[in-house]
Amino acid sequence: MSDNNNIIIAKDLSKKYNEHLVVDNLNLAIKKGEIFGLLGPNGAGKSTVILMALGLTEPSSGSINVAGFNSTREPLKVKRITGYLPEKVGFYDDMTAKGNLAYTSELNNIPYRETPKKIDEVLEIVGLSKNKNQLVKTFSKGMKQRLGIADVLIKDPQLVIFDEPTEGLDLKVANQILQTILDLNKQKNITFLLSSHQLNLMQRVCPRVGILSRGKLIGEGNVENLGRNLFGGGKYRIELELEKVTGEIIEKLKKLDKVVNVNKVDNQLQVVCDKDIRQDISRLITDEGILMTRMNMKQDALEEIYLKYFKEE
Amino acid sequence: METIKRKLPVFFIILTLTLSIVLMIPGMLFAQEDEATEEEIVEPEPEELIFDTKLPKLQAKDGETFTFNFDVAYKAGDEPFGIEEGKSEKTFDITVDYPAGWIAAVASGSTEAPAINLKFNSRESLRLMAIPLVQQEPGEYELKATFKSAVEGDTLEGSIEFTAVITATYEISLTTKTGRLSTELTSGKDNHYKLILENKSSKSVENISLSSTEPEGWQVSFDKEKIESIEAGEKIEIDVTINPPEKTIAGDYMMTFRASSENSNDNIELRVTVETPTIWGIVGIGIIVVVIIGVAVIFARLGRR
Amino acid sequence: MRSILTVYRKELTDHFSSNKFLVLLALIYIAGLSSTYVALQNIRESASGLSKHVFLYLFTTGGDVLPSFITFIIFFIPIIGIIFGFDAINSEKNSGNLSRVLSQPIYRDSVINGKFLAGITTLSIIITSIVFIISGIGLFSIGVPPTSEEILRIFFFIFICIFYGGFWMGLSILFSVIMEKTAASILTAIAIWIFLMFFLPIIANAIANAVVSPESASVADQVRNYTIEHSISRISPSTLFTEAIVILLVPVGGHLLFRPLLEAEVSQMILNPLSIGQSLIQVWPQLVVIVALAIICFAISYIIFMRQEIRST
Repeated sequence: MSDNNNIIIAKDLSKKYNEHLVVDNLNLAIKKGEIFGLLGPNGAGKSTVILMALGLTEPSSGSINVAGFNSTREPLKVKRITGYLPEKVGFYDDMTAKGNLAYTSELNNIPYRETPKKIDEVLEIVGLSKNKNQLVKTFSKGMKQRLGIADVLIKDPQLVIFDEPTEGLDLKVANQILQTILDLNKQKNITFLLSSHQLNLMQRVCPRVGILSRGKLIGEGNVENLGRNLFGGGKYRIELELEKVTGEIIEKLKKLDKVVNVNKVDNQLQVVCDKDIRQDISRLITDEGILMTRMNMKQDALEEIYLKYFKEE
Repeated sequence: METIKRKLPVFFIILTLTLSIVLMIPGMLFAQEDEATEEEIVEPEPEELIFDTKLPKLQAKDGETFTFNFDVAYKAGDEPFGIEEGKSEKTFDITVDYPAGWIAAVASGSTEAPAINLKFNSRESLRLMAIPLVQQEPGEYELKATFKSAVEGDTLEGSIEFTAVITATYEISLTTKTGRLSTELTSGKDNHYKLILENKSSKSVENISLSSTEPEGWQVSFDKEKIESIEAGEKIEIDVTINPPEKTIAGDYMMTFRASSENSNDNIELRVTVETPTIWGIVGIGIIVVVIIGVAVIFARLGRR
Repeated sequence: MRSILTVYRKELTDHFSSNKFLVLLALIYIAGLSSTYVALQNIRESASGLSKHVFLYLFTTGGDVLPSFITFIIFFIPIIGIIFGFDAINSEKNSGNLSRVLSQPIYRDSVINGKFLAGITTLSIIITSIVFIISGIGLFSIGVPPTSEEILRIFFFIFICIFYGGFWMGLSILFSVIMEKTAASILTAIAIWIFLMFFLPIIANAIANAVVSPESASVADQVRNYTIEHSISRISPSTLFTEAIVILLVPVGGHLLFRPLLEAEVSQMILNPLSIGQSLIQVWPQLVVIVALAIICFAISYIIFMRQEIRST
């Protein structure tokens, strides 16, 4: 991982609040031009990592660099090239969309003459051109979120950090936002760091994710590999509910072709495998003369990760 | 013998005298009693008018009315002349003597009385009113009211005399030249104002001093502080300089000017309005306008409305 | 520095567009004009012909029904200060604007400095404009121009007013930094104002009376009673402010109002106006404390704000 290819590099990053470790020895690298999903349940430390990346809070130990600048020591340089969209993005309600963007533009030292053109351009991207002179208080949640994207684009960022981009939005609007992210990533080569606890949405746009749990990065990589690594491989998860579970039957299931692992939870069995082998399994169970009450299969590894790690929080 | 002859008449005289005295004493005693009874009967009591006043001499200024109060009583006596049986009053004509240039009359209550009925043995309160009609020199003037019986042939009359003393009058008056009792002043400046002093009395008035009462801190001066003498009827113009201090608040103030001599004085009250010097009025309005425009500009530049 | 100006300009615009500004301005103007009307009615009685400071009576003369302008000012300045400060930081936090603004390439203190400066500027405009309007009306109606000394006194008066307002603004900004809810910060600030303005004098009186009986015939005891009461009530900046402006605007005997006066002292005293230098020396301690309090309050808010974690939620 050379510095040239990575836009965010966190090294042994830790943050303590009153002796409570929120971020624990985090090592992370995000490549230029990628869309990285920082996933984890609420309170896992995602926001803290982001704040440290922007220099809005200081790490207790370790360091975090953005585009080669130390976030703690040179926050202004970091913030000049980084767009940040907080989870609950807010605008000045009594100002128009244009007014809010002009303020951001001024704070970014963008020359006064270029501002109107810039505003039109970013509003066009997010599809709010018609609402330019409308007061923000009349905007819906989705419009505000899009205005938020316009707001970060004003400064032509290399990196956009997006905290909970789809939180509180209905599916249709959430998909629009995600599509915009994908487009921007493709067209402008902007690196995105998305933080979310909505894994199912994230997995559509994030080729690579990191999973944060209790301040620790417990997994990093593409979604499939991640699932495999976490659960000992296997893309498919087949759940069986049997009349009775015996050790013998678990052994027999394990010996089936393509099976990676078999876990027992109460009366349920979870078969992790690389292929859809439901036919083989049902045949085996029937042969053993055991009554199978239910069988279903999940292909979605992220959902499992979610269940495993996120629900316990 | 001769001595005896000479001594004999003396003896007789003494004897006669002694006898007569002894004989006369009882007679004299009787005679005294007789005298008292004899007079009541012989000489009847006469009719009479009795006048009485407490203030026979009054003093006043020329032009004023003199009012002398007096009482008159008619004593009818035993045989009032010319009175019919059963009547108990007599009519008298009243005439008043007064000097030239005067008018005088006796009045009862508020009405003039050329004649009056007087009851027997009673008192009546009357007044003599005297007014100098034309200007009179100071001095004493005699007045006399005569009551004369109106009955034909009756000689009963009585009179009372009064003295009216006219004193010298001194009257000066202070007025303004314009006749208006108000004026406008500018603060911090000498403001000139004309007063008129007039001697309205019959004699010249000496030694008149002028003074004024003004708000605290004001400076007032007269062109003549003292006037030696002013002839009767003469008018003198006095120039007053009023200087309200620079810091005088605009508004109305009262001032009093006084002219006083030993025996006469007058004063005049003047309402003065101190006006705002125009320049400060303009500056004041200017400041207000500038401030309001300033706030309005700030609004226009900064407000999002 | 530029970002302070940007924030400052935006905040100023906010203030001037806000209804609270209009209401306050109207309130102060109405109070100022009505007290001037009353002053003009009564100024003739107060200012005798020999008085050297006729113009100042415009501000210090009251009537039976309405008090003087300075009485209004004593009352209104804390309100202006509180109203323009109480929601400076927490409303920005709650609306989600703060983290968005702080993610722009600006130093964090630009926000609080710009806001404080904008508040002070607004306060200054309100106070200065009404003082000038009253002066204009006075000049027009009484026709007495102020002396250069009176002008100086009026400027010092405005200066003290601004710092006094700055103290209350600093205090309410402090509450807006440490309290999450705007309702909490405004109520706390107003509670403190009411305590210092209305209750402290009562408490001071009660304590003084408890220590030394006010019925005591001895002069020493009465002086002691007065001194105790006065020392306690001087804890309140509103007492200090009142003293400062009365001494400044009432050159004749104003400085005698705030100390125990013995018959023997007064009988030998000639009541002549103090020179402006003497007046300033008299108010110097009050002035220093007010300025220091304003600075301290703002400095504490500044420090806390700079160390605060800015989270979007």
